[in-house]
Amino acid sequence: MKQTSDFEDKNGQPSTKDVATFDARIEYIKNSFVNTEDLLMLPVSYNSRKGFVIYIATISDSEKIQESILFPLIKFGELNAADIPYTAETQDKITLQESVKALLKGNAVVIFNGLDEIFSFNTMKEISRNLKEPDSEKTVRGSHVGFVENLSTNIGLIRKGIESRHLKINYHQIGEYTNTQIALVYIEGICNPALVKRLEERIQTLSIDMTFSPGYLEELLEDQPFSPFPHLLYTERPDRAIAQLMEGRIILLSEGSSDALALPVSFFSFFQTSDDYNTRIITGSFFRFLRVVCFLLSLLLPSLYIAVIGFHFEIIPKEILVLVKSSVENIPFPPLIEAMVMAFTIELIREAGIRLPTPIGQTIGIVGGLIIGDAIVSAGLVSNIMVIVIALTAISSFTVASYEMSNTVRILTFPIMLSAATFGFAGIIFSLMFIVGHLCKLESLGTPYFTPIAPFNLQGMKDAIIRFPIWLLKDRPRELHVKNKKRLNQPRRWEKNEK
Amino acid sequence: MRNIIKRFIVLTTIPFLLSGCWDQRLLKEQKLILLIGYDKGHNGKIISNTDYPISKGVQNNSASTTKSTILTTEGETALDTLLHADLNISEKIDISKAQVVLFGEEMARQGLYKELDHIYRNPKGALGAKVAIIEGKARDAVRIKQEEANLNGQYYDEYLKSGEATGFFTNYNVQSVCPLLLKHTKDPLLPLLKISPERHRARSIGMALFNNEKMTGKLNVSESKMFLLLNGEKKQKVSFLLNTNNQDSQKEFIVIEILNNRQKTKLSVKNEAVTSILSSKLQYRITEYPKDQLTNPILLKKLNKTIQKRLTKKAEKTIAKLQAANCDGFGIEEEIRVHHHQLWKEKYKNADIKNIPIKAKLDLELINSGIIN
Amino acid sequence: MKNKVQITKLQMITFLIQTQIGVAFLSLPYEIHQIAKGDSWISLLLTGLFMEILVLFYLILCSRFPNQDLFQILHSMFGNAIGKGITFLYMGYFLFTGATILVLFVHILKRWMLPYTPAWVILFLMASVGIYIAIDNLKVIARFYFIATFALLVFLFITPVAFKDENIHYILPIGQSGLMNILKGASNVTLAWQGIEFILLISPFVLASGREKFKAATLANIFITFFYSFLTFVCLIYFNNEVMKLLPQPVLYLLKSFSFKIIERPDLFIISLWIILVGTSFISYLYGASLAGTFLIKRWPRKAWVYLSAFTCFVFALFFNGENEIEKVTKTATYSGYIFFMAIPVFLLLLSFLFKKRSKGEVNAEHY
Repeated sequence: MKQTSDFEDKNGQPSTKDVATFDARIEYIKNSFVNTEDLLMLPVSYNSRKGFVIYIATISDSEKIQESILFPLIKFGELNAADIPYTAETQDKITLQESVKALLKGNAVVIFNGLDEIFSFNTMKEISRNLKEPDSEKTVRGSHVGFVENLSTNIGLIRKGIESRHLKINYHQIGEYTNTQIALVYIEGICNPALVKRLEERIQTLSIDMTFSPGYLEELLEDQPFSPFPHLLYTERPDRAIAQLMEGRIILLSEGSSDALALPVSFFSFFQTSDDYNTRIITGSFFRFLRVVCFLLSLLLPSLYIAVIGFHFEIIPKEILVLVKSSVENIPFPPLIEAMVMAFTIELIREAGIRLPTPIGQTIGIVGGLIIGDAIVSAGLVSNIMVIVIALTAISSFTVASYEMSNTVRILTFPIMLSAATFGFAGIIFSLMFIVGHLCKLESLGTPYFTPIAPFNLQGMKDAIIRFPIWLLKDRPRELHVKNKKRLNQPRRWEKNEK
Repeated sequence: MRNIIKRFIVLTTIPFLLSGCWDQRLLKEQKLILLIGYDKGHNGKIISNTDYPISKGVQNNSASTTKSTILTTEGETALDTLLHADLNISEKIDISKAQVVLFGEEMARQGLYKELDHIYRNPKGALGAKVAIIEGKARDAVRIKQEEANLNGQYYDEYLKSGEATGFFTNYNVQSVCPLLLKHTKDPLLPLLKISPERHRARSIGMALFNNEKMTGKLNVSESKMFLLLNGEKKQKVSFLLNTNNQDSQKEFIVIEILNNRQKTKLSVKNEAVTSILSSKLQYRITEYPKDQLTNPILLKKLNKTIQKRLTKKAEKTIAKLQAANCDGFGIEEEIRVHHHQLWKEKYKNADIKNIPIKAKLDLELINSGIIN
Repeated sequence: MKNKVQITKLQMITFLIQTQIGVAFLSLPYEIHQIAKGDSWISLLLTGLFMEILVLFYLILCSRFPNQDLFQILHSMFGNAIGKGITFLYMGYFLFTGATILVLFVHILKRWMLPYTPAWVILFLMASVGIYIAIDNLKVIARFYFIATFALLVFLFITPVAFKDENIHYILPIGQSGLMNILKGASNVTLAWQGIEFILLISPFVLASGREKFKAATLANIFITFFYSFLTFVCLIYFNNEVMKLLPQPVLYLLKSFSFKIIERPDLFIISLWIILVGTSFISYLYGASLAGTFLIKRWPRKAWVYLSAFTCFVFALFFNGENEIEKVTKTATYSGYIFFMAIPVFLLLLSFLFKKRSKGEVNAEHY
């Protein structure tokens, strides 16, 4: 009786007679897990008390259970809350309800008949792989470490990079069934607190049964899900995540995913890579510039070609006019169809190759690229200049540093091609006006997306289209309204000293 | 609500895209006319000769072969002849990429503007096309069987371009000649070519002189060069062959190349009568002097004097020819209008260039004689 | 939680530039050349000077009512009924000007680029772009205008190519057409500056002091004046008097006669860029008309007014785009311009001096 009342007092929960007794507790746990068969119960007896070590076999490490529970039980005489032998893994006294959650995390729970404390031991099985370079974001220089699918490892990687007590991590659980843990990482004192508040409000009001990937989070959290442009920056690289944190952005990590989400980001974040800062200033700037140019190129090249061939061939220089003319002379289709067929083929090759094992993927690339390309020209279905145009477009779309952005570009090409085939240059301009207008409208967590161009920000331009020297990037991005605006005070002070 | 609006917009846009392409003109469905030649026909009609490439298809990835095809049509106006041409061609004709427009001499004597009007009027008109006059019939020029370029249009384009570079011709194109055809204060000079059919070549024989839009005379090649010098053309490197002996019978030739040219047009007014002086400071080098070595400074000085005399003579002859043709290529009237506006209004508006005395003053300076003395 | 929409000084400059430079400037050299001949560029400088005085008047008026836009000023000066009446007239004026822009736009585009495409298709495209952008708040519009300004710079960078074939004699001697013609020309091209009245509309939203606003507006005006004079100057030294008479859109013709190695006909690109400039002007007038609309009937959201205004302009432009009507429409637009961007604001300023009316520190009406 006494035990029951204690139980009541501690938790303030309605007590039922069923839960009060030892058997009832065991039954409760069993029922909570709908009698799943990987819930194991090791009967132990200790000091003549009967008890159970309960754990879910599939997510608990049996070695850890032996080491931290079974051995001490045999070794020591008394199992008091205070006397429980401390192993490296933590252990807690928890309530019955909490024990269910603990079990789900991979903990082992120990219940004894006649003791109202329930002990929980961290015996989680580390389901993780080694750190290796992410395939989607390779760099030439710099760190070659990537995030893994384990949340605590990932946070650890960030903590290693920012050894500061200001680094703050807020945990949230999302998914009524999956209970996925996500971590909101930011630096207190740099990050704009209003942003954090806004994001946390959004996260807390999410009500969904599951999330298993950041893609879910992205769609649930972003302002305009129908926009073709990505609002959140995915990265698998800790160094990139750290750089984003230091600029005052928030990083979202979730258990089971090796992607970190940075937000809020602007359009030009998608053109930055870690390599930019690891190469020399001029080359770094050149590569950045190249990427922006490639973005425009892949957006506009096919439609420009269509417009020129179909509407304004006056523009072709006289030196190559005859060449172009003879190339398109015997093509049966209008240029739009031609371009659509080719662009569609490229998309096919990409989509077919992307999920296949690497050797087969390469074969697909060769078959698709070389054989189809060659055959389609010699069959006279598509002009060879169109093949060049579409191939250039595809390659330059892959130059864009972010996978999401390069997909965006290729999707946007189609409507522009359509309007170019209907109105020529005027059509291209009208669709560009829509796109730029859309970019001006976009806001991610209240920060304008197309900055530093619109709204214009000279400081921001230093790291947008070209990369200025590191010692000139003195301020953090202004659109984030960070608390600590200055990034550097006196870099290269030695110059003064040496004079 | 927002999505409904968006969907509405998308749905209303799709019909446009499906029904569209009003202005489409596919490159593959056009016959591109690269060269047009206009000749005078009977009863004031115009005969046009057009040259367009047809390709012989692509064979096994090798570059396709193209060849010139020529069509001759007759009509009342320039555009009319082209409309007639359209009746004869399997695809649509298109003159937006014309590279050269040629005029037969007879045609040119009647005036050029009429024939060029449709190019000016057309938003797609080829304003960058070059204009040249053919001594004889433009028909022969278009039908030339030359071997230097793939297409006749390209041939003339390159031909005129190199002619400009070496300093035979002024570089007028359809657009830049337009103000001169219309305006009364300056007149154009256009390249003059002659076709020798047996040798399958065109030959530049100087420039055609115009009074407003009508051709009135000719300059030969060396006079054309002289005109360019007096007109202050700077880009062109002009060469002259001169006889340095004072007697014309003896031949002691020298070839000089003009390197720098600083030209000024001066007007002196006396008693309301304008005299114009074209003064040029020329720096030249000797590129050939077969007779002798040039080691003696006194000899050089003498040589310089002779060259100056010869060139001045040539200049005077050129000016006389221009005046005879009433062709104000130097823009003397324009100078008068600018500097003596009142006088121009009273006296010199549309004045004949014949009545304005023009003097040439050349100053020559030897820079070097090549890498040997 | 509603934060007030505000724009920066730079955005104010680009807003004014983009609003004023629109459809008219392609034919501006032609229009003014008919009167002032070779001295047209001087005329334009004079007009710019005159407009600067107007800018000064505007900003004095704004500084007397720092937190109010034009319609609120009208309201506080004349009371509800008359204020709303004049606001209604302004709405009509904005709609009419927007429609004029569309009419001229279609006219020129059909002449130069898309001769066979039906007018209603072009109009529909323009109207839908206008709606798409004008429907958002001033901040977004200002951002868009900033980017559009790059299109303007292309004009400034390409036209100097004409200097290689220039003939300075065409404009000499300076002053040949006489002072009277220069002045007459100057007074005839005010249509090109139309849009300057938007200073009164956006001034309360600009994040700057009165003095800075004046500087910004002046900068915009200087830019526009020099832009116009420069283009006209280039056209004048490239074409002579006789040719100028033949070219209703000399700027485009000028570009058409250039040719570069890679792009043989730059005019086609330039016309495409010009579409953006027209678009921005049109968006401004949609914005102005919808702002007036919300002031008239507060219950309707601005969005609805944007749709309505765009539809009105679309229908108007659809029915009045014949050659003869264009001339009438342009004339009417010029004359209505005299009333709405010169007479009424100056009159307002005088009245506010006369009755010593000032802003009572009212807070801005909410914006969307």
